[in-house]
Amino acid sequence: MNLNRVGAIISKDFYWAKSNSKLLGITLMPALMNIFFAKVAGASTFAVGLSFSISFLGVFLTSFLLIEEKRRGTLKALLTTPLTNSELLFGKFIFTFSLCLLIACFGLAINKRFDLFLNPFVMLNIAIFSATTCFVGFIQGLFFKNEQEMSIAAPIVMVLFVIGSAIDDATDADVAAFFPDYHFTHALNSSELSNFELLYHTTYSFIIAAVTFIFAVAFARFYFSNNEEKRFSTKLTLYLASFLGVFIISGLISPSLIQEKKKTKEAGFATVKFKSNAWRGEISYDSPAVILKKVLNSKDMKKFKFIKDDLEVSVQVRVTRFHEEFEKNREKKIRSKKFTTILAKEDLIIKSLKFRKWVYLQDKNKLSVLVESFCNKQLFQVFFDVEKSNLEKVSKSVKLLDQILLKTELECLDGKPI
Amino acid sequence: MSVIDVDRISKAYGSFKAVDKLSFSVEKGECLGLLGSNGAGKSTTIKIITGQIKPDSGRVEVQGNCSETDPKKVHSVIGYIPDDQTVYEELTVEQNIDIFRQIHELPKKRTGEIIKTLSLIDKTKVKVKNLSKGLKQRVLIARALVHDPKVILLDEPTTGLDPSSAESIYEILENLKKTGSTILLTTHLMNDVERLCDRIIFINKGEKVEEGSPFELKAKYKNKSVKVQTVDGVEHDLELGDELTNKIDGLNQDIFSINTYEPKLEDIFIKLIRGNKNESE
Repeated sequence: MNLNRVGAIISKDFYWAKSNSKLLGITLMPALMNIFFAKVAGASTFAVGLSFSISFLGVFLTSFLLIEEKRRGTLKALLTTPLTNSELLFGKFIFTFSLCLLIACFGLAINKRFDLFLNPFVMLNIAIFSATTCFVGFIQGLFFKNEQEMSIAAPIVMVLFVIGSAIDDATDADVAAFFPDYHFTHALNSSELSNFELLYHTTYSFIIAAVTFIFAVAFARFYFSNNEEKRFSTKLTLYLASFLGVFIISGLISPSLIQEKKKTKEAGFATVKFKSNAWRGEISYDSPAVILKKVLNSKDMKKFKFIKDDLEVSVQVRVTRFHEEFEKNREKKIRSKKFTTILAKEDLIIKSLKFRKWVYLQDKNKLSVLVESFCNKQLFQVFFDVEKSNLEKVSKSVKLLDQILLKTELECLDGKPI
Repeated sequence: MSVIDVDRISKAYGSFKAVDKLSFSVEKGECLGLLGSNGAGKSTTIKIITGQIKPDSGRVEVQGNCSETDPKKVHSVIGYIPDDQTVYEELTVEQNIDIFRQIHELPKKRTGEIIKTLSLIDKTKVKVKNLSKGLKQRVLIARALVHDPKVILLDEPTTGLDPSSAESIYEILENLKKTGSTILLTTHLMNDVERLCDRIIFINKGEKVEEGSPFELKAKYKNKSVKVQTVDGVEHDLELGDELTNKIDGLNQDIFSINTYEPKLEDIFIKLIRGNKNESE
């Protein structure tokens, strides 16, 4: 591959996108989307806004760059020079991929999430997601002859790239896990994730990117070796089938992780059920080494005895309808960031797969922890106390509890929001 | 030694034969014209030569490089001017040419040189969309010649241009001929070939139907009649031969003029195509 020729394509696309109103519009639109999501929709949707703007830019700009070249005949002019097909596509990839990264950085900056710039996992996930959208753009751009053809197919695929997080909020995360934006939006909240989960999301995103790349290469080879124009219906069927292929193949390769999650839920070796007036929580733990069976029937604090291997820890767990203690001690509340800091001092690092917010309350004799989680648009809270006198065991106990909470699935019994 | 060697190439789209066992060669410094009506297979032939389309059978070599198996080597030695004006309309003349200069890895000054050669110097910073069709064609030629190729392929270079723009293209191509470039052009315009070509190949339905220099073809298809104009202004085509004087007498009119006339390539072209059509019927 000759980098001078790749550079020629990058600089050409840069000048072209700058002076072509259609291409300029596609480039600027994601920036406006980011501003909209940040200023209007609020910071809570910043991850969705970012995934939406990156997929819009990656998919549409890449495909428009190719389709415009095909429509005008400049593609054949370029390819009757020493420029190779791979140099052409690589040049275009670098251009759109860089723009995707720029728009992602813009999105992070406008949402004042400067902390994420230094998070390698987040940046890696942004790169993987951007690359995936560019590969999709290549498939689309090579497949369709003009904008009219593309405008029929593109929205379907665009939806596939932004629907994951919506499904995640609405229904079961296992279905959402098949869509790349689900993993991307979760990875953006890396501070609330365990290492396992970060790895899981990154791996799955990488597998989707790799499969999409293989499909893009296959289509490029097909396009450049076969000059005969296929019927639109044939192309559309092949195009949509290819994305089904991407998801099926990605699913076949990576769901060992998903299946593991499912198995955990279904196995139920040891279960703790706890109930309050309004809702019920369920804790499952899959290790036979854990002997853990206790049922809470009221709001009253119950003592739990966790035994794992040689470790025996007693903690008190309480499930509250609304965190009364928290309300009473409002002045004492410390948000999750500080809590993490305090725990870090005590060498306690809590990361949870399911629970997204931790609130810490400090009393004279005990360490009280309130865990908040959103599931089915409901707020769930688990409140537990750990005796301070037993502080040397707190680290292990919190870690053990965290392991249990990792497997926790809470659901609302009566469906009423708390 | 042939610079372009086309050996029995065929290409079909379904049941339609676009090119059928076509063979010819172009010698060094020669200008060859491929003539044919629309859909005769001219553009398909040139696309096969440039490696854009793979032939169903046959082989094409350009300066010893096979177009099918080694297209990039072919592309580095040819300058190809396509039939449609495939330029980046929103970019300036200089930017359009510079892309191709960079692809050929030539120094920056080469862009300025070719702009000067093609007399586009006052249009350097003008966006191509603001240029006339004739000037756009010049940009296309400048782009194709930026690496100073010795083999130039032109697909209908003057189609749709006004006479003055066409004239300027002829002048550029004549200058290229003088520098020893080998030129292959396809056209259905007889002016192009009469002005530029050393040799012509007539193509119909993908097959070669006639070949020769313009002079040879005109001699071969010379008219076997004279044009006799009588004083009443009527023109009569009378066949040459022993009976000619009797036929003139038979007109029973005073003669105003008797002329022979040189056959035009158009006439030969039409005759060949009609002849071919009648044969097929």
